Amino acid sequence: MSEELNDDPTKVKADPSKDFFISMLVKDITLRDAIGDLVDNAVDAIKAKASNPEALDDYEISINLDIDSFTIKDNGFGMEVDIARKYAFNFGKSHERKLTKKSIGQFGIGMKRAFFKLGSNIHINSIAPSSQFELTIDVNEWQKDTSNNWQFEFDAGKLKENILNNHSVTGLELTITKLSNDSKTSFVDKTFIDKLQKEIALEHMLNINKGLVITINGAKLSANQITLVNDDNIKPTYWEKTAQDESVKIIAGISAKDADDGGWYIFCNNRLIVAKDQTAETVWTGGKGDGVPKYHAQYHRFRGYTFFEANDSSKLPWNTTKTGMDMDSPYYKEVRSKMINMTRQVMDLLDKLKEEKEKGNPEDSQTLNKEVERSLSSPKPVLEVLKETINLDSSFHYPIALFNPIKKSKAVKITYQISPERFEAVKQSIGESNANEIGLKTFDYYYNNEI
Amino acid sequence: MSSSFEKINYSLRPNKGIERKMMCEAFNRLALLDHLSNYRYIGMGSAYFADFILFHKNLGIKDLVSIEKEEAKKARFEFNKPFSCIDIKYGNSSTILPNLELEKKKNIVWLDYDDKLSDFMFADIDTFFANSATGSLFLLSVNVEEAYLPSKQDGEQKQSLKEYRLEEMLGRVGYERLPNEFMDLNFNTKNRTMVSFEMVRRQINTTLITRNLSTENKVYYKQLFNFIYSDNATILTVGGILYDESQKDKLNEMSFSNLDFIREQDEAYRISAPNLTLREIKALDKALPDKHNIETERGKFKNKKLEEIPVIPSDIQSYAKVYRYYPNFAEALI
Repeated sequence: MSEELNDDPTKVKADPSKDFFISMLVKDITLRDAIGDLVDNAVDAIKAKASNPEALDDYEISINLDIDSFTIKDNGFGMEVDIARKYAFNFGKSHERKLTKKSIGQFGIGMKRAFFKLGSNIHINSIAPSSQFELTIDVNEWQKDTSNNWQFEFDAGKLKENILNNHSVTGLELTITKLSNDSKTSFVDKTFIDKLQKEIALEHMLNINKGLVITINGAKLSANQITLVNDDNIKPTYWEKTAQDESVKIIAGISAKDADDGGWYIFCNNRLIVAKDQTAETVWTGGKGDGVPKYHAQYHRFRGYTFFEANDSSKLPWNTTKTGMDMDSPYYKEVRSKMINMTRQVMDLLDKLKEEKEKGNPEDSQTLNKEVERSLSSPKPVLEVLKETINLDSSFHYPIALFNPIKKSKAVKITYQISPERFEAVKQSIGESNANEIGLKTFDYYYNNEI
Repeated sequence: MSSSFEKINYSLRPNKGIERKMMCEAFNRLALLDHLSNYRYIGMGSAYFADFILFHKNLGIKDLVSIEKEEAKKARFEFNKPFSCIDIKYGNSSTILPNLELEKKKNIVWLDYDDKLSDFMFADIDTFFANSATGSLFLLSVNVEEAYLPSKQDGEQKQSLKEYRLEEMLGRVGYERLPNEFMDLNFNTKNRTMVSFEMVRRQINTTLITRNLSTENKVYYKQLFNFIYSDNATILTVGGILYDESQKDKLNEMSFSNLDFIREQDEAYRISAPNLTLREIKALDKALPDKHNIETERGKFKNKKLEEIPVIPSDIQSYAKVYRYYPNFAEALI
């Protein structure tokens, strides 16, 4: 077709080149996010196979990386030959393509982008319920072919269709060799592996909590539970909006004071997109912005969790690299406005806790703090709390009657200055070295003797 | 530092008293939308509760919430509560308001701040407009008095009054909120009023745009109040009603615009009560309402009775505008 165009003086050439395409694709993605994309695809394949997406105990994703190769293997649904042939390797999604419900990856641009980022020899081995294949991509060879041929080829003799594979054997294994320089240097760096383990564990904390096993270089990832206090005293504030194909749930309250864990968490189809956020991306703009005051020590106990779910993942308000929210999305703007409101609700308690602790208020009088501390000792997993939202409403509840700040108006403060000589004399006489105490004692002396 | 309620006897602020009564008269029309007794009043009653008394007695509202910052003076506030149906919530308005379930019933919310416009007030505006049930009424009062240079210390950098006022304004509201076209103004009382009005209006718009982004039931705001008065400092009060499509007809029926103090635009209604003696008030009342509409002919009132009262004509005109709302003060032994 491009030949014809060249002959037509009214046409302007706009063909893509593979070199340009590859360099553009990998430019905006980090190695870490490329691997994340492949994990997302594996999770999708597992969800497609799992009969109950809440129980993923039988599923595993294992990732291995070293100086020579990168492998990721899952025991999910696999990729059917027909999907591979028509859609999975397209650059850009086809409209005809039906996506798995509530997916997070789905062989969009992420998978190819990840290939190119990681290395130049890609081998895929897929066993799906009714077909299986192997496919090898030699990126350098493919790039050399400038005949505008944008195809890959199944490995000879490895293609089988219209067969019946047992569910127990399905899955996909991806091996990448001839690693990129980025990959080589990072994969031998223990710090990189460490960070990767921590971040993947965080991103998929909900799936890991549901039983999914993810290993990276043999180490099984573990994820903490996200928690909230929910008892007779303190009830989180809850808001939801559900439509047929999508829903959003927001829950906010307090949990145990672990300085680093405070802030907002946003999940899209169970994948954590924004973690422990303490910035303007969620609500913490500072008083001069449209949100709440900047995050600081006083708010360490704050926890907010937002769960977006959509059958069609393109409806989720995340950015394309899944590293944050799409701040321009009307959907996210609406939800963020709710998040701001809910943060203010919880801040009412956090502000009061601080006020009650103000200097001069004896610990025994800090009745609200005491009660809250008691509740904080047994926070509940958020997933449990969400099962009983019937008990929650759009207000944040706490035992406000216990709030007992220092009654400033009832105390009179006296300050005065005296010469060091006179102070020293009284100090000796009273036998007390603290100036405050000396002041009190001299006042008491007058009161007891003259009043 | 003592609070403003300790410095000023609220019931002795005549212009504020007039404003309150005018509002009350407007609130009466809400009855076309819902029983007034179904409304909740949320205000800042301080220790005088003048607005609470008026709205409870005149409108029959029994669900009243007063937001009070100073928990430390709780005993005094509780003691001064005029009716049992007032619930005082202690804390900052920006964290109290979100927990009042504004979406669950219609509210009349009067954010009657003593202060100059500051950032936390925008949070309160946001909370009201993001959450309130339609049919709710919003009011906000702020001090718009100009700022003055603090007395200079020796060796201090000289700063012009204009620069100082801009800096003071930015310190309260932040650079992003101050509209560009106002950046170069000298924030005297007049300009300060304009810019405060505009910033409040913008915040209302922004919040409503976000709220309407993905909802079927769009909500709208109609400004009804734009008062300016000065009992001591100059106060700007703006407010209006939140409504949806289904309430549009009722809103027309309420015909707020035939109340002459209603202001739907930028231009404010100025309340200025003249100082008059009881004798003068009685004489003026007898001649009012004036069937000649206070018109004059060759410098004299058409209404002979008015002409006979030895009060300067401009005061008579001012009084005629507010006589139905004019407060009566007298020393009384109770």
